[in-house]
Amino acid sequence: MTTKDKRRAYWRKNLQYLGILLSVWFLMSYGCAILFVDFLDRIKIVGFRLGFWLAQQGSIYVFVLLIFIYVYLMNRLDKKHGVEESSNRE
Amino acid sequence: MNVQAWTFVMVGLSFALYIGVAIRSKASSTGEFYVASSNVPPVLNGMATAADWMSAASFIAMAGLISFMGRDGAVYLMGWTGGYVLLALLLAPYLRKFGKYTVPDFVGDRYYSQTARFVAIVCAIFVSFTYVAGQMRGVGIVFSRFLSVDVNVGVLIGMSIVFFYAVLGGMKGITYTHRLRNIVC
Repeated sequence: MTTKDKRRAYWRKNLQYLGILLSVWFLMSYGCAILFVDFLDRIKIVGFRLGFWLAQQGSIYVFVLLIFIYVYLMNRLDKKHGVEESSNRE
Repeated sequence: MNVQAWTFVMVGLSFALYIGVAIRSKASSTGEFYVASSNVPPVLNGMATAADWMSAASFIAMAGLISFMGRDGAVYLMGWTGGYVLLALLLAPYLRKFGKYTVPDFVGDRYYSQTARFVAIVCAIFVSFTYVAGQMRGVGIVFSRFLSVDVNVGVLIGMSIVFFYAVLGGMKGITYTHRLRNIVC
């Protein structure tokens, strides 16, 4: 593979990760907590309505989780392509 | 001692601590001012970011919004927090890899255009002004209750204290004081 192809592959992988993670992000916040909230509210977990809980707390947990997953995936990708921080920085 | 005296002692001590930190971590170069020489450990950086989340606006305004608007207020909560995901996924990594400190810097260098840089600066100022206006109002309310002065005077007092440590310490000072705030919270 030429350098250009490699770069393209890296970028495509990056966009793929972004696409997946941001769809989860959208589904959690806009989908679960706003659009389908009435449907989810019918499910109760330990006395809390699921839709309400997702809006107030659940979505935030998922957000934090998403950032951790992104960091893990990107670090792995960087290492695979040899552009990780330690070798890249002066 | 009564409650008033205790509040004065506690608030005075915490301010002394913040300003002491600001003086100790005085910035002496551009890199130090903007990114604390890039040598803030990740966990501490995360703590500072978390403290940013738990700011005056979230303590005063967000709690109020949710109690007033009921579950509709959750929209603000999610926008507030969801923005961090966008920041971490779409903005921060590229800025870091590009090696610039601010978004206008990045835009100007990436598109070779001073006009684009200027537009980015205007956007940045507009966005942060909206944010700071809310924060400062919160700070003003806290100070007006604490020193029993007018809200406008409270804003001025709070502003001068923040100005003092932000200008002196730059990002380093802010990261350290945010970390302290995280521990306090």
